[in-house]
Amino acid sequence: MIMPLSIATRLSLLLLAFALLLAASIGYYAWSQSRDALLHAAREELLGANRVLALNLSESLNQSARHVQLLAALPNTRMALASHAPQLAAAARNRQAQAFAQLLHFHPQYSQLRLISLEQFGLERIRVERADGHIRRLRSGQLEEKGHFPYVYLTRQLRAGQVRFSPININDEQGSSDLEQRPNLRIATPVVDSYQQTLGVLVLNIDLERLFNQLRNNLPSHYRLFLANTEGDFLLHPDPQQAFAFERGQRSLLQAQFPALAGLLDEDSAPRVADLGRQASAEHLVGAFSRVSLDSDQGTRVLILGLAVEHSHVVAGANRLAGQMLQLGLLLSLLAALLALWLGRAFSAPLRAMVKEIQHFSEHRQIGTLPLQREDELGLLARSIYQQQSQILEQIQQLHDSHQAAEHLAHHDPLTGLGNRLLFIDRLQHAISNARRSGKRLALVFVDLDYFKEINDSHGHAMGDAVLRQVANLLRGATRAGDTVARLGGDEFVILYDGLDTHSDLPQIAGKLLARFQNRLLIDGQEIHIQASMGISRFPEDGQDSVSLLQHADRAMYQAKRDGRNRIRFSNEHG
Amino acid sequence: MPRCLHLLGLAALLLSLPALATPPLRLLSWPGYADEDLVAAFEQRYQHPVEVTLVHSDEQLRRQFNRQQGRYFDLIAANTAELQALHAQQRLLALPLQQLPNRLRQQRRFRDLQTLPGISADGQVYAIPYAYAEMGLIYDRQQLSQAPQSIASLWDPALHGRVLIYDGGSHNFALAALRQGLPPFDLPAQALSELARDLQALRRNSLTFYRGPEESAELFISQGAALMFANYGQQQVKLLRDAGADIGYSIPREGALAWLDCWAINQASQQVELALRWIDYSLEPPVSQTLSERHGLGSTLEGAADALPAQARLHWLQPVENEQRRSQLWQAIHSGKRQLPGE
Repeated sequence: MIMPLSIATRLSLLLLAFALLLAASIGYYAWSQSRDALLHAAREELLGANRVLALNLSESLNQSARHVQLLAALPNTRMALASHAPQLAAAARNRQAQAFAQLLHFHPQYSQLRLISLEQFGLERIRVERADGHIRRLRSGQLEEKGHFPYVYLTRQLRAGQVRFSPININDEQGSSDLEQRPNLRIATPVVDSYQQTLGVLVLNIDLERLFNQLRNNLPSHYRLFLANTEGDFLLHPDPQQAFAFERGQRSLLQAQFPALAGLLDEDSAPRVADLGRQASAEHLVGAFSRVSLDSDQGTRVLILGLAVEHSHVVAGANRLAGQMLQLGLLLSLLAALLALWLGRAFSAPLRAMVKEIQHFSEHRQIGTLPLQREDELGLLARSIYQQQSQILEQIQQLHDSHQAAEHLAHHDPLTGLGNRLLFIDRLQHAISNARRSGKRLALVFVDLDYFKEINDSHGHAMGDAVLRQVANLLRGATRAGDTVARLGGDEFVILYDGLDTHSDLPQIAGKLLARFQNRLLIDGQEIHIQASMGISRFPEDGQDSVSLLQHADRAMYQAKRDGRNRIRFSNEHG
Repeated sequence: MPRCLHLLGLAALLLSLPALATPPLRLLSWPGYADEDLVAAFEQRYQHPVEVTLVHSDEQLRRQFNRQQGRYFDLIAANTAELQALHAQQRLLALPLQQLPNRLRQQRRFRDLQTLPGISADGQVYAIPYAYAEMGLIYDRQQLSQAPQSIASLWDPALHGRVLIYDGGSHNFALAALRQGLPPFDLPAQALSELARDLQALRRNSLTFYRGPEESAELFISQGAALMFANYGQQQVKLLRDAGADIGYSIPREGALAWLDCWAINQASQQVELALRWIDYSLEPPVSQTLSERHGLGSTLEGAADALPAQARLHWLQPVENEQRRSQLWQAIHSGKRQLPGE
């Protein structure tokens, strides 16, 4: 069962709800407005970082292309391939090998630099490479024929000064030192003599892992890198299983994994940011992707570069703001709750006090303290209550008085003020019950005035009434406070002697009573002689109940009348 | 740690078990045997993911099949020579043929498994034939007015820089042996060294090497090749003709190498039931027909056109005398070494 809520609680709740709604809606509005701005800024930051990285990447690779072009254009390089002057060529190869070694030394991402002749099936003339961390030059006996590799047969088709970027793959060329089984990009250019005759090719191998480690060093560590080729095959991926899948007979494609980025494979598409969902190690990533074009003379080679951060990084600012908004909201709500509680109490306290006073009034019929002095509606209410209570009290008093009067009238004789038959029977029954319990005794004296009719007839009813009043006084005076005197009607009176230990005193008591009637009464200046006949019955000897006791006393009284009036007869006296 | 935490951990482990217990059905296959749409239909039918790994040479096939101590792949498509070697290593599961009802759709010669070399032993069958082809010569009709008659055409200096060769040691040694009239799969050591020299000369006469059929077609057209050893046979012919190339195809007088690829199940597979379903699925007419319709390969089903040229001498691939030696020599040749190992 739901407890009905008090007005104060309801009021407090209403105020609180209102305050909460207000705080929440203002907070949400402020948060959503700023969140968009913060998210936008975070995405812009990601795009900016991607742009810088893409620029660094293409700049680095283009610089490498320039290195290759420069080396190819040097007279020493041409001389190293000259077949007509073997000794001069050997000397030139020695010099160039040193230059190659220097270049590798200063560029850790360069893993191999070769000068390859078109003669002798593409025989390597100079091969300098990184092996076990050292830079070495291969002896002429170790040099190999490479004419059947695309970096030779495709590059030889170029003109002087043109470069070729190879597709990026895992290097599986044997004996290629530190580069074996590593992501690899080759930049190659033809070496052309002054007659525009192509003598050979210059091939630079770049270890992409090293290159990307270099590029990554400039970035905060929480960035994750993605790289895909023109077909969308992943070359770099936070999950190593996804990178170079095509080298393992499988495909792992950017456009399949992130359909939102498929458009990037088209030409001239702008950088974009995409939610990448859960990636390796369960990171939820958001990434900025853009195209990096490597301008070569055999068509542009395009890479898709992606830079991603955990989603939480992007929304961190917005979440921080949300946290602050929540704190502020909670504080406001707390204040609102306190205010609502205080308001509720301020409103309900006087009401409660009044209710308490009303309850007190209904229990004790006393008007308590009410805020009569207030000038607001509560004061008005208090004054109305006061007025009503006063009226109620007054009416109750009147009711009580009239009840008392009616009660008295019902049990008393209006003329003499003595108890009437009703009261007497009631008292007698009580006395009988008490006597039965206590073993005490009772006596009942029936008093009937002698010749009262004559007094009425000769002196008038007024005199009769006066006589009766005097007799009542007389009887009252002759009895103890505990005894009951009543007027049964006409000139009949009855006296109940209650709680007697014995009946032995009765003749004496009755005698004294009779003696009182022997004097004359002075009423309105007239002396009236009035006497009475008395019958006495006793409990328990003469009867067990009120009716039989009264009958016996009545009979005894008549016996006294018959015996000549002004005398006493006991119920069991005969004759 | 309280016991309840142990129980929680155990519960979490048990809950994650079903996910761990159902890896994809892993196929090790060649291009054309498990096209994406066919795989997708199978995945849909059996509500189970399939992972396809493609190889382009027997060397790759062996390397891949050894992944994770040889437990990675459930199914392998390999030629009868490779299967013989794998069976010798007890790597293949004896197949319950009654679970392959679609086998009844196959031509009689592919159903009589006991008569096919390398796929049955001791009354047990280890592989189901699936596709076959012979390795002829593809030539550009614009550059060569006549079809090449001999394998020796590959060495023809007139075609220097216009020849395309397959990057696979075992096949190339067999090819070189046929040219010299030697038994292609059982060469004496001395012959092996001599043939290595021949192959070095072949490399010097060639433009380059290819691995996959698509790559070969792309190179043939873009580089203006004149002659190509067709390791994938009609599959390459179809690719080239579909791309509009004006080519011819011939079987040299020395005969052609031929292969019969079969499905086999890894002895270590945890998903034998599903692997059997794949094999049976591949023998459904719409699936097997893609071999010939899309890829120009021979299908083993009844009613399929015989993909082999009539009256041609065919040398079905067999295990070779020394695979490792052939491979080692080939790697040296491929790398461009002037001095070959053992010289």
